[in-house]
Amino acid sequence: MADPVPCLDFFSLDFDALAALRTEGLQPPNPRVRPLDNLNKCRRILPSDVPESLANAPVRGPRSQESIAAQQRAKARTSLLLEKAAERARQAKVLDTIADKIRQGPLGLLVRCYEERARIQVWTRHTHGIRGTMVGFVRALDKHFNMVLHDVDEQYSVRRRVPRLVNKRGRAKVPKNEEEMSANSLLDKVREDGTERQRKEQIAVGVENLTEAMKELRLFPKLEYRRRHLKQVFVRGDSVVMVRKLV
Amino acid sequence: MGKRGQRAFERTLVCVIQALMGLELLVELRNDLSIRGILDDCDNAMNVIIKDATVEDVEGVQKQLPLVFLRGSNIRFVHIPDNVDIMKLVEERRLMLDQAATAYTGKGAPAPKPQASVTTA
Repeated sequence: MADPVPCLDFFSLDFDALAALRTEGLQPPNPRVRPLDNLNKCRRILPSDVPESLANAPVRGPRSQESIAAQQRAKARTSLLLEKAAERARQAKVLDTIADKIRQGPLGLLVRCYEERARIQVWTRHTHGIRGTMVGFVRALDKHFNMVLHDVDEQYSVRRRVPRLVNKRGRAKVPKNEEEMSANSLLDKVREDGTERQRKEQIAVGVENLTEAMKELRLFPKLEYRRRHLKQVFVRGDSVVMVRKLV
Repeated sequence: MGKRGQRAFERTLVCVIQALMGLELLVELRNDLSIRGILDDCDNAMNVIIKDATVEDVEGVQKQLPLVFLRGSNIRFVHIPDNVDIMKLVEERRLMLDQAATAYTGKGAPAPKPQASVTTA
């Protein structure tokens, strides 16, 4: 290894620290020594004959009364400010604070509706598709679109399974021994008997049996539209699709 | 500054549901089921426990269930009783929580910092 240049030699009197920092690839003699945080920390390791060493540090006198008093006043001021801020935080209404957080951004429109007590129209959803709309006033609001609505008119659709009479799947079987119950034989029977009541009964029974043979009750999915009025309702945000402000 | 964000539920409207604890509510689910009963408990995720519940489906078929645990994500609506003022209830609950916090531990509620004692070198 070549002799280090005096200004870059860590042990020489002509050591130039700035030049050493600017030199690439220069390693201190013991690279595992931890660097110090600031210059003050190096005072402890300086020899006592150096004027900057700790041994020659000026002795700090006792704190003057003015400085102590000044510190007390400063602390009193900050604690008072903290108290005031805490009091203000307590006074602020929870619901207002929550709504306040979303004032910036697109939800700000909703916050204005909340403050102006404006009427809004909210579109709600099923798992697949729109469920309906709710028109009402906003009482509370948050970033998830959770809302408490007041005086609400809701128009919505519900998926139901409705039983209906339909033709049986496949070929309808009319049992042989009941062939006499077929439509024509019914009419013949009716003409035979005189009494009207008996006639009606026979027709009814005949029709029922025929129906049973040929038709069945099946459940069909149906979209049913309903509307209702709600005084106060909490709407969870994940059911909301869209909100519109009404004039 | 008081401990801002001390209570996670006070940043969303879950605090409204929590303020309704103990009241009889109608909860409508995302699958069009409605559960009417007394709201026993509610957590930060809006999961609720309902006591003495009557479950009714779209067709109108009713069923009695003594205790129901409902995952919050399944809720669509919570019908609040007409005479209830949510603003008032939420504030009352928050006051109660603040008082409860100071009563037991002396910490928890926003309180003024004590004066530092004088030290001499």
